[in-house]
Amino acid sequence: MSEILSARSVIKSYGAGTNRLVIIDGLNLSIREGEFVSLVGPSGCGKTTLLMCLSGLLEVSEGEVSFEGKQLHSTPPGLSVVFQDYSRSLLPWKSNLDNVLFGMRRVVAMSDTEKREKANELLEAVGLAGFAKHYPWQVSGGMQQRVAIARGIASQSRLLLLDEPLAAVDAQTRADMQDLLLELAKKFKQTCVLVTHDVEEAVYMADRVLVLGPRPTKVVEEIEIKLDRPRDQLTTREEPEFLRARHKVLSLIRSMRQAPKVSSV
Amino acid sequence: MRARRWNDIWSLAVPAAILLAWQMGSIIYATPLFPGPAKVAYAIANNFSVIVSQLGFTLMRAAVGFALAVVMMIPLGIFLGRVRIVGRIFEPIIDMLSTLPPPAIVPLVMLFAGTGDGAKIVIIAYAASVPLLMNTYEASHSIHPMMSRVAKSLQLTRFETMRLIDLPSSLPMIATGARLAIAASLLVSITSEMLLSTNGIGTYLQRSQETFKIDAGLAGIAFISLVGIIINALVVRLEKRWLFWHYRKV
Amino acid sequence: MSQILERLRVPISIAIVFGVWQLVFITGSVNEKYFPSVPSIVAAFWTMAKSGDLLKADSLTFGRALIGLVGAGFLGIGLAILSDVFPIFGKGFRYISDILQPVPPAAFVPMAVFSLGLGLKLYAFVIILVTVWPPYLNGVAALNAVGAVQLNTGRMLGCNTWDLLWRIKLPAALPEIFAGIRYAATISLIAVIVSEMLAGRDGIGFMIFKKAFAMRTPEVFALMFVVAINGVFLNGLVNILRRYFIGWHMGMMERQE
Repeated sequence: MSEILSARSVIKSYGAGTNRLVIIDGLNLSIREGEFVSLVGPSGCGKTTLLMCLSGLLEVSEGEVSFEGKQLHSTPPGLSVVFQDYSRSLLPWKSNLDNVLFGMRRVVAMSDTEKREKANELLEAVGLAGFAKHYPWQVSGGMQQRVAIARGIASQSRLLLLDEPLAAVDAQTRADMQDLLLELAKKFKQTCVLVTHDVEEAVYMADRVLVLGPRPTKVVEEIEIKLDRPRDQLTTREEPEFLRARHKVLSLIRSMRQAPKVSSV
Repeated sequence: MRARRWNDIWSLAVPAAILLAWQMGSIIYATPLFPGPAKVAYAIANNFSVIVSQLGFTLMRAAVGFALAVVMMIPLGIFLGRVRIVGRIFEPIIDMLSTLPPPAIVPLVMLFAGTGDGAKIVIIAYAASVPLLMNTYEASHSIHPMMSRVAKSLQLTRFETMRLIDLPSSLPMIATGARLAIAASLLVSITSEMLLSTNGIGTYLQRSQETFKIDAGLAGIAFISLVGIIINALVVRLEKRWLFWHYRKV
Repeated sequence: MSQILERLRVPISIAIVFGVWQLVFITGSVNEKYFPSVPSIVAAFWTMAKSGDLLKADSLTFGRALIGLVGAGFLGIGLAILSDVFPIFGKGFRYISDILQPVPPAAFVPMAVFSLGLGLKLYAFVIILVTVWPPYLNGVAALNAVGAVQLNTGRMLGCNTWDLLWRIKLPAALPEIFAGIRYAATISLIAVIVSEMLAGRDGIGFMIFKKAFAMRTPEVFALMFVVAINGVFLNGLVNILRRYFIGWHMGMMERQE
């Protein structure tokens, strides 16, 4: 499998001199095409900043981030971000359908009617066929996030960066959304990078979990998840491999919390 | 930090450019009817005492009118908000009155009450009343129902509820109304003087025009603006002091 | 009982106003010269309306208010965008708005009469000078307050600076800008009436002044009614625009209540 996203010796810092605040310090990672990778870390480690750097929304201070072999300076076509704060990332003056269409503004290979068909198809895929004409603020939080995911995929993306997309939806909806995300990733051939603070979610979704260290952060551990797909909310979560991985990630994060300045592997 | 200070300095270029353009224009047209900033500055120095004393009359009437409106409209607004049926019936009347621009009633009140202080104060009080009443009523009738339950559980009488619960919780919106009312009082005070008066800054402006002393008139306007800025700053201060609990919450 | 009252509150309130009015008139507690009966006001209105004077004067007044409001709206939004794109300009222009904003429209009229004459130029100047501030100040604040998530969403989807302004910031700021325009509509009507009274040649403001000097009280009251109707119309017009441009926002607010 070829590499789709890579970060090499990435440093992100703000300010200069004694005021210099380093958020990311020497981070390396490599995401292969078709993978589902979860990023977890102790709270406040700079996960969101990292995602912004990986998406090209923030310029890195040193090192480089490349998407499909090209260095990033802004968000390229083919890469899209799903933000945690769906109520603000969806544009309230556009209907759900128009929000998805807005995601296709850089797609040139399709006519307007084709785009419309595609957008409707995507809304159907996320289970919102009847809500195309509704406005985001007329539907529930979980539904809003599904619109945002549909918009992300609509931009003909190959890589989805998911910034704690399910942190703000209620627990029941959350499990359904996890399965929906996995299904969509497979159906639309999306490589996914999921940032989350929920360790169980990270393990349940991923092929690989990258554990981030405390700030200034970098990848301190990589854990392969050898669980079969498709995954199941009941049985997968009871498998020994799931429990092993969960235990490993949790204990790593806990050790970091006790000794904040741990030096890495 | 340093870049910010430079930005501050550069931003002064905007008013400077406008002043310069104005000065150039006045030099090109070279008529006393279009004086430049230099002439206006000179006029300020020359007319200082006249302007200040005339402005005193204006502010006095504005203050009395505004105070009258406060004393009458805040209690009325609270009452209308608390006694719902009366409030709902009064709502359209308030709406009707609010569509009538206060300066339009100047000639009318002049018929009633002549051209003295009394007439002007009545108009100012009316102008200040509309935003005060609207905001007070709006605030007091949209108080969270929880507050009413609190009042009931403490066994407050209706009057006590209005005084101890409704009034304080309406204050932030009343403050907004008061700002509009202050602006309206000043506006009407000056306008009424221009239409009918013997003293005040409005009259001064009219006299300046009649005697073709546009520079002196503009000097008067500069002082009106200054007073407006000072009053605004004072209001902001008072709001911060009295309504800190509201602003801290947000 | 209260439901019936609720439904009939508009007619009831109108009845109360007219009732009290007629009561004062009948009891004769105020001189009739100052306080005419409702029928005499209606008659005065009718006479002025039939002669065509009223329509002519009101179309002048309303037209001036509208032209001024449209000008102030566009200018306010334009200046707000300029201030957002060039923060240094915004900061510098803030001094100008701070200075001009507290000055009432009436004060500008006598100063501008000689330079601008008594025509449309004068009215446009005065009205725009006093009504431009609400849309401008609201616009600057709202453009500045557009959330980081919305901006990042736009950037993520490949918006450049211009797209961000046009597709994200401006739509997000429109509700605030319209709140400013609504307030400006009220001010623009005040400014026209006052200017007409002072610059005195035509329009409703001038008519009110003339009739008042002639002690024609019923006519004055009838004209004030016309002024109020103008306010309602102008407000209605702004509301139609609001529904067209920011209908989504009105729906959203209703839902949150």
